[in-house]
Amino acid sequence: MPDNNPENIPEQIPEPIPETAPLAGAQPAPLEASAVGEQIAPGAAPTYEQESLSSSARSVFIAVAGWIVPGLGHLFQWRIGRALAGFAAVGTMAVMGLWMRGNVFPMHSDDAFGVLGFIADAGSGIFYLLAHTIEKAGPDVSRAAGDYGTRLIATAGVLNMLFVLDALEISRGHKN
Amino acid sequence: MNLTHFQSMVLFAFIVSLGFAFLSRRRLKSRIKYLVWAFVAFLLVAITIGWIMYPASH
Repeated sequence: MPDNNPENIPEQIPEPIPETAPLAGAQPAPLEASAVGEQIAPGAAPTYEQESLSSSARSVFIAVAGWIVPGLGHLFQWRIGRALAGFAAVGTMAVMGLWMRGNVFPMHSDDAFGVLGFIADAGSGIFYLLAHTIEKAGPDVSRAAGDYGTRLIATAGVLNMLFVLDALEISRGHKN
Repeated sequence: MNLTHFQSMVLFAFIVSLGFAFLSRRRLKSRIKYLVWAFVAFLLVAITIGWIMYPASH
């Protein structure tokens, strides 16, 4: 029986692009250009190290963009669905948590739970930075809703970290 | 804003399921199926654990 599940259908691998023949009279690329940052002669192909450095810089840029604005890392790679879902999910959860007057952990804390709370909260990027603008009254954990809000804010940050990792995997070609 | 514990849990379950569905599935139909499955699983597990802990509160 054929397997019609779309998740199990292997993706088609594009055929390799054949190398074009060099133009007549063109100068060959210099062979010794392995040092990173070395000047490349005009018309010469970038070396493996330079391509790798460029790819790493792009991945870091995508990760930072995705962290600051949830979904932006996917948007730069034209993954529109994931970008919108990431922004909507992280944004809704963070804003609801702030409106419920959940606790936002500061950067400097004395205990380990405070540090972990800061790491989780800071994952939501712009929503962490604008926390006091979104909810001017500040946290109030004397009510149960404030405690639930604290959890929602932390979950929003951790969820955004998952989206950032996904964007990073896509940019490195490990995931389609 | 003042949500109850159950409302907060439903909100949490739905948004996390949405995120997981978009991260782990590629096609829309698969995403919807996964979202519904994860959402129901979140609720069932939470309610089950709640009832298991219920005798300890008395």
